[in-house]
Amino acid sequence: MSQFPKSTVITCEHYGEIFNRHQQDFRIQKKDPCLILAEKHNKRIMPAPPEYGLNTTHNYYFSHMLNCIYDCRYCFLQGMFRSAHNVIFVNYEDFIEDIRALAVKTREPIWFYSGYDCDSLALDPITEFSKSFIEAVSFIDNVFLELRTKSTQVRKLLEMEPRDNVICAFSLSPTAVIKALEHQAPSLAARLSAAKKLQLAGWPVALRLDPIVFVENFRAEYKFLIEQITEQLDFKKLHSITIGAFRLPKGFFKTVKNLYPEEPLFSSQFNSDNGQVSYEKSTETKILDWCEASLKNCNDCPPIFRQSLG
Amino acid sequence: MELTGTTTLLVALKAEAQPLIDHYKLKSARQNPFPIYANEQLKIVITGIGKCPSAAALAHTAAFFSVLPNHIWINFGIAGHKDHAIGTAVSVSKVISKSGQQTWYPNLIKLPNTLVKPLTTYDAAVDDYVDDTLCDMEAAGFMSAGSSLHIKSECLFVFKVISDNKLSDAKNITKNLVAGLVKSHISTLEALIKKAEMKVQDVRNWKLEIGSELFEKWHFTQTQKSQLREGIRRFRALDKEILWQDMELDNCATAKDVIENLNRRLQKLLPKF
Repeated sequence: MSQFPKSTVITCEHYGEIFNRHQQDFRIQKKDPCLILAEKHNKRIMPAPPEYGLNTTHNYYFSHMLNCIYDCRYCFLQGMFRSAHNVIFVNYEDFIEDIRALAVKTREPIWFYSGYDCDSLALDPITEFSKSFIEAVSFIDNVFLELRTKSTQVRKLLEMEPRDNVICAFSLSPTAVIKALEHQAPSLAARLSAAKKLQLAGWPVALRLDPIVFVENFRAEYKFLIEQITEQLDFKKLHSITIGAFRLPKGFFKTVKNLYPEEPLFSSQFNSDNGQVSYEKSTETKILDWCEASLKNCNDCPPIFRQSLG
Repeated sequence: MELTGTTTLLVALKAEAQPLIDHYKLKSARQNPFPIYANEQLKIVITGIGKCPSAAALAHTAAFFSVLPNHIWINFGIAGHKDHAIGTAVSVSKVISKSGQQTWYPNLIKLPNTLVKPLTTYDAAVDDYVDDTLCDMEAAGFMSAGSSLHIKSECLFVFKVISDNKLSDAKNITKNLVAGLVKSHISTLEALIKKAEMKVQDVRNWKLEIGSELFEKWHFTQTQKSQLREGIRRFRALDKEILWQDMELDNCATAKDVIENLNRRLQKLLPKF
């Protein structure tokens, strides 16, 4: 609160009174969202969806925030949440206790993914999320923490000793896609620069090319992206790269299409099978095959994981 | 009844409405069941005192007049507070119904020289000013009806001017006092309306216009109309240079042909960034 001395404070009993109420307009709210400080009382650490892991057995996700300060047009949060306000859960100690409790149940590696319902680092200077969690759980041998982000806020990480079991995963897209769809998010150059700083400091860095958007000049755009990655980063040292084509649960797609009917992305040729809206199977395969092959053509390619609907 | 406009003010008293009617040169649009004054942009509804009249007036106006999506609704008027000086303008952040123990959160726009405070709606006039909240008799009815009618919370605003406090309670309120208080805050109210309009503007701007000539030339079933609408939406989003109306449709014998023609074109289009 001390970091927002000029803000207007409105008290509420439960964040859901504001965040979950009916008849909210995500698009209007997104222009000027509020910040809600709350405690998360249950369901803090959730089993990750099967397609979310990196071929590992024990996968969980958690969100110290709901929503994101960026405004990516493809983001499923627009379809999942009724509200565009940003919620920060302040009871970190309860999240950390839950992580510890799960970690002692197995001796096998156990993965905790952050950045599913928010950007992990975008508000790190304010929330001190990375410092709090890394200092508390990274010394547990079997715990692996992935911090997914588009942010350049890596200063808190750079102030710490790197940990092998904490992976910063940067979501990247070609510049044209960033400009058109990732509103308010840092540029590709800025993200690569942040990733490079972390690599040089000894932190494991991963890349997430997900969602891949099938646009005009698709190959040229993504070829140039891969070139920029290999030029800027130590490619062989990357922890992993995941690739996935644009897809959304059907209900979420309908919501975001109604929110932004003028958006070209929501006007592509899609399939809607198994409750998911995605590119036609042949298109999706073509996109992922081409990306995988292009990445593997580079020397010393790190492990590549495909995120698809199966 | 056609009564277009983008903003509606709901006020309890004629004394609250009159300075606004004069300022905006509003014309009487109807007198029953609630007096309504309007021009092309703005209408004012005089609801009467209390939660129920306030709720009924909002429901009536929303139901019987054609309003645009994201129409702005503002509950405006006088309210009490224990300490704040008479004449203080307040944007209300939270509305509490004293009797129903319910809470609503109207949209909030910060304005210069305007406080932000919660408000409690009572069933009768109060003079003990217990809480550090404003007190009135209408806002909870306004918010309750807005919520029941599925009006977006972003479109509901509550804006009040302090008319009474511990030093000068509600018994001292006169028509002249109310008119003076309202007059002195017309510019603040205008700023609120302008900012509220700006917030919802781009959401209102996108309209899908389908020319009636299509429906004159071919017979579309309801399903086909929906397919056509979706096809035209996609075409307009993907190709900003060519109008869908310019597509060659003369060879189409049926509505089905029109839709297939449109879909063939769409298959070739990819988002251009």
